[in-house]
Amino acid sequence: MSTFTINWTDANGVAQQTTITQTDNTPDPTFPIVLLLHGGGGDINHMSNPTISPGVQFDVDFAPAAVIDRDWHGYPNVGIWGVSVSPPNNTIGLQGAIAQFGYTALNYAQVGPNDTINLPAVEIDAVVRAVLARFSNKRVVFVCHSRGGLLARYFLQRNRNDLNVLSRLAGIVTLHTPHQGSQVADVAVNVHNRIVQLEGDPNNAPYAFILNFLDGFVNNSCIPELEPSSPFLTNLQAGEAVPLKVAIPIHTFGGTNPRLLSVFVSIFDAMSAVPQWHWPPFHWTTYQADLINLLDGTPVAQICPEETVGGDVLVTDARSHLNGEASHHTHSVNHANALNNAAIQSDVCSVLATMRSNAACIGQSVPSSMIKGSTYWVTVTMKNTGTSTWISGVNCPFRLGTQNPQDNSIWGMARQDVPNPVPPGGTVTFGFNVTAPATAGTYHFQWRMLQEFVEWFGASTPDVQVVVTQAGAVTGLSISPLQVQSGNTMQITVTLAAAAPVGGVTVMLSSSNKYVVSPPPSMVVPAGYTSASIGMRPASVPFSSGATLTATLGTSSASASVSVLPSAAYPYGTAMAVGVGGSLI
Amino acid sequence: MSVSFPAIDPAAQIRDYRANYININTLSTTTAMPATMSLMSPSQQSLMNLNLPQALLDAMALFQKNNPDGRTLTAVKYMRITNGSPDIVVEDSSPLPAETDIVTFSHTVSALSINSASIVTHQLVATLASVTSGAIA
Repeated sequence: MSTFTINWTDANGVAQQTTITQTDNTPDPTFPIVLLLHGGGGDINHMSNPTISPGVQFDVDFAPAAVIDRDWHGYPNVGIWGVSVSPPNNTIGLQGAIAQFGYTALNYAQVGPNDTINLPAVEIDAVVRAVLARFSNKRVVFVCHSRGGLLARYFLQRNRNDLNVLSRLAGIVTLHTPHQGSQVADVAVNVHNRIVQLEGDPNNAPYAFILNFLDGFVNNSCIPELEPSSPFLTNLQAGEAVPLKVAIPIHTFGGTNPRLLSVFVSIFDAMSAVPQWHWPPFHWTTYQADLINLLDGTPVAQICPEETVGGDVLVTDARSHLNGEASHHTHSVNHANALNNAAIQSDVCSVLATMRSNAACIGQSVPSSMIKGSTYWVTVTMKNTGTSTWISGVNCPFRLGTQNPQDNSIWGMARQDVPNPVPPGGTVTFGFNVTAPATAGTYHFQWRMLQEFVEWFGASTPDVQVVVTQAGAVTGLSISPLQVQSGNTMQITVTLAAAAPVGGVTVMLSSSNKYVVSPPPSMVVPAGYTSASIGMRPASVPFSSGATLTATLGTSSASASVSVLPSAAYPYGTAMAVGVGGSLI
Repeated sequence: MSVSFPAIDPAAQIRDYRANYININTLSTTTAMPATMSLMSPSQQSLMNLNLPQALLDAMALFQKNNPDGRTLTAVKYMRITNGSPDIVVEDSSPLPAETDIVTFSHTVSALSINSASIVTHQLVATLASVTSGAIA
């Protein structure tokens, strides 16, 4: 574990320093940084070594074998073999566990863990900015226990207008956070208020010591903020009613096991006193006569009834939900064991894996051929299939970037900003002009989304191999039908060697016999197209006639011939009055 | 906390007893026995002449009295365990009685002081099957 320090100034202008511990594992380079936030009254061990602090780390799900063979002995035995308690959890803390899953995990002891949240809130403002600067190519995830989750939510509200920061937050995971307050906090506040009353009575002066001792458990500044109707929570929820400009997924975890410790009593089987014809003769066998589950919904339930319907001693599972949460996970674990429960740690890392920017190409329009140096309008439509909002105008903006090779400027640019914020699930069409390379050849047209300076994400768009030609050229002229009766229509189609650039391409038309077929002097192939058609009628002719049409572009040309038959409806003489060469339709 | 003992399944215990059985007479032919242990066969040491504790004899008499099938109880093996080690074993190479015939009795007496400890367990195996000798009840 290595450390680094952050200097910051608290609300009173006092210089402060926070030491951050950083795991030394080799992280997956595509994973975000995990910043751990412990709960109220906690310290750095909560997230790194909870067996030291808070220390109430027992495997409450442990169940000894119903019958245990104690082997053969020379003496009879009866009664209680022994009393044992839940074994300690041997799993590691969150910081180590998350590192094992390939993340860099940062941890620090918050200033004023028992104070109101305003003190650590100023600290985390500085911590996050320092972390973002230190890991300038990373996004950050908060993994929080208990009040740490409220601290994270408060951070979002305090920084809701700093999109440079918010655009770097991949998400939040809260473990047993009292998002909707805690009835236990209510009780603690009431107990404190009652102690204050008792202390005010002169008759209780002899008991001042014990009253002060008891008050030490319930008189922390952070506790009133955790009451379900506290002004802090009320204001926090009011602020959250206005959505953030970027999506920050918050995944919540809750607990339903108020058990802190189990006591096991191992008692001799009666047969342990009966000798057998064996050497040694006494076969001792014990069995579990009973167990005691401390705080197993009894003492706590008497003062916090809601704990009986699914609580973790301090917070009920129901109150650990958050409106708009991305997901919720419930484990039969108490408040302390949430810090080192292996199933939770695995579950957390599964959730972390979902906090990704991701994209899918749902459309791409680009000519497959271009004229060198010409300008073309192209479109790329992407869908936001990740959990982050794509925004521009920030230090690490979301963009479309060239691929194949990455960061190339073949088309005159390497990036396109998102034109507007794109929330998760939304789509965006990037429409822009590209300039064909100055040298004829075949070039890849392919793009991929990225968060600048952070990561490329999602699949690349389909690879379009664009053929860039020296100059525009006519490669074909076709007439359909090739034999047409006067008065009927025919279609003339011109084909180019490369798509027409922005502004289109004008192709000159001419006829070998304008008295039979008289095309317009030119036609335009629209931008992006390699061909265009016009329809026209030939002139009325008294007898079968023919004409050859020619399309010319620069030095290139193409020709096609058509036969025109006389029409019964338009006898000789009358047809000539219609006009020389026919008409366009 | 409440302590409750599970009910004893006598058939399971008898089967367990028989499964764990070791014939010490046979064992002595391959394994050195403690020097303090006296191993005799019932023909050498009549089981009827053993100096058994009265409590053990009372238990046998009570069993015989309450035995519903009226069959006679006959002792076939005896072991005295003193301070955790057998010191008297009366047994020949015959196996234990069948599970429907076997009955076992035991009695433990202890005397413990600051200077001494004596824990003596008497164990007797009897059978309800017909035998030609050894009946002590």
